[in-house]
Amino acid sequence: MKGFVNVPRASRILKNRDEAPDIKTYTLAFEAWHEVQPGQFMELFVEGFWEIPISVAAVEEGAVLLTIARVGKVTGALFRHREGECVGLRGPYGRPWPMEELRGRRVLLVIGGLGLAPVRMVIERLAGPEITLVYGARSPELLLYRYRYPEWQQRGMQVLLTVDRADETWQGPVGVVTTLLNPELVQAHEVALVAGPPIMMKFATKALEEMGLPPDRVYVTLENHMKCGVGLCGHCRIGDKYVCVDGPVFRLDEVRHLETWAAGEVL
Amino acid sequence: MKQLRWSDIQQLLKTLQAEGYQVLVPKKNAWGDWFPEEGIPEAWPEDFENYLFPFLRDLVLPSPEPVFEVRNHELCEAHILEFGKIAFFGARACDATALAYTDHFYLERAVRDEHYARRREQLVVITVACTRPCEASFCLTMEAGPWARRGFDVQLYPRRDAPWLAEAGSPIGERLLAPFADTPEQARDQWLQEVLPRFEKLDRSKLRYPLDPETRQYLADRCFACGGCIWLCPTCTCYNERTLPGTQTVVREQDACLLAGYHRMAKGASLRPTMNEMMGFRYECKLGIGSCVGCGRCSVTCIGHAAMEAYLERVR
Ligand SMILES: Cc1cc2nc3c(=O)[nH]c(=O)nc-3n(C[C@H](O)[C@H](O)[C@H](O)COP(=O)(O)OP(=O)(O)OC[C@H]3O[C@@H](n4cnc5c(N)ncnc54)[C@H](O)[C@@H]3O)c2cc1C
Ligand code: SF4
Ligand code: FES
Repeated sequence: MKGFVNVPRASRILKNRDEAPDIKTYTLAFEAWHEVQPGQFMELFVEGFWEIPISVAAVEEGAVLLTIARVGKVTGALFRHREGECVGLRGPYGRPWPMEELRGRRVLLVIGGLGLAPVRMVIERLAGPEITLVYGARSPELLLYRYRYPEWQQRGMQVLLTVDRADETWQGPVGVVTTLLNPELVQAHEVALVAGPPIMMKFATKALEEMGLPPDRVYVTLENHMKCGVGLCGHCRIGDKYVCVDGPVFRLDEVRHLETWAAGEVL
Repeated sequence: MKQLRWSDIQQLLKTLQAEGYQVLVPKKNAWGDWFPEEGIPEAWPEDFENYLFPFLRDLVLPSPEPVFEVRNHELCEAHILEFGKIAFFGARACDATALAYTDHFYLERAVRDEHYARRREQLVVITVACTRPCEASFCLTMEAGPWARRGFDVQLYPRRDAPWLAEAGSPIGERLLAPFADTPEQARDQWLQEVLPRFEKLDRSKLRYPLDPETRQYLADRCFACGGCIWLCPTCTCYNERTLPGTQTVVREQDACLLAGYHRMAKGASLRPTMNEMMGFRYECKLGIGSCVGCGRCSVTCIGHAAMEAYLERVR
């Protein structure tokens, strides 16, 4: 890649959709939408602030869809923008999910909360009887993309849901996502993808290992402080890896190797 | 190998001037601090050890540096900060080595940073090898001194009562040295034989990452998190990004991994919440990845006892 790698392009907000309290999906005009691979992320710039990394949840002709939680300054400023206004975008960046390896395999997706965003493109492409989604959120209203489940299920994908706290509408299981895992379910799959908040990933990867999936069959997407997205600013470094270019998707055995010498928690 | 008398060196610098280069040389101010200033020196300043600031780093990576601007809701490239053609005379081996490191980092990895490239192309580096160690340095151990193995266009080896030795490190260097007299390669071996015994060479295998847990805690306990070592380190180039208040200009500016904010994410979460972990992160880079060139600046500036010197004391 050459040229002015640090400069985002202006991008119009074509649509914004409420997903859950304080979570919206933005449809943003993006010419190179067809270059995006599942698991990659964009750098999103909001006027007056700086850039933040956001996973691509889906693409459509001429646009990327980003699902964003309002948690602070930049995301807060973004939420004040309306359809028709502009933000900045550059990307896509990062190592994607290993799609070649997943195709035709029995894949288990173990996902928490906003982690459904970085695997949604995988599901849209692969949903079928070989795929099982095990998904947990804090409460029923925080389960993302509920309008997509019927189609995914129709294509044969199994969708297992749980919430930490039920409300009066909730009929399903209650508990963290790992409570849905059991050795039989895990061993019925050949590969697992894990995405979600750090604490959830820590327990989920441990459970998968204990229930019989070796670390070279488990992939995670790491959350890390990121700024430039292209391996220069240094923020996302873990050991000698730069999560923005060497990741964010890593195989669990690579993570285990980094854990032997990197400072701080990796997973 | 070439040999040059002082008048030859002056001639070489004049050639560069004629080609439009600003020749920067070490100059001492009234308070004894060294800064690069324009000119052609009458003689080599014998008491010059090195600059406190890593000026070569700051020439290729000025901070803060405008990256892009919002103009009428369009995003535009900022004008690239350029200093024109600069010949940096009297660079030290450690800093040239550091430059080679940042060259690789900014130009030869996933992306090529055009801002860096534009300034780097206009820079000619003339190192003067060191004949005695400077405070707190351990360059020989890090293979980054007293002479540079990379990162220079021309390297000069000062000799007391004889013409200086000179070698080229790039095509520009070859061209600049072409007019001068050859001398056998062995002359440099002799120079090394005379000079190297003055430098300490530690067993490199002892300088390793991960640090043992006690050393890491020892250093963490003594760090005041002032960031001084990072502002002065020739290979510390991590940066953050923000819109300059009151403007529409987005700049990148140096960031420091010993400050908590470097690691902080949304809602105050951090992957490295303790000083111990941040210290580990720094040493992971300096020794694990191997960016340290042993210049000693961090030790000179450290107000605790947490920089390289403190670490070396424990492994010696
Ligand atoms: C690869 C990747 C993909 C992501 N995908 C999504 C997504 O799809 N949806 C979503 O809502 N969030 C996602 N995030 C997290 C998102 O980047 C943060 O929530 C966002 O940066 C918070 O910005 P803020 O200014 O609103 O928060 P504040 O708390 O005000 O500020 C925190 C500041 O820290 C910096 N920062 C850098 N990296 C991070 C990080 N990883 N987490 C938090 N802060 C960070 C930013 O400059 C940010 O402005 C992703 C992060 C990464 C690394
Ligand atoms: S870590 Fe210290 S000794 Fe090593 S290059 Fe940086 S400032 Fe110099
Ligand atoms: S985000 Fe800047 S190096 Fe990875």
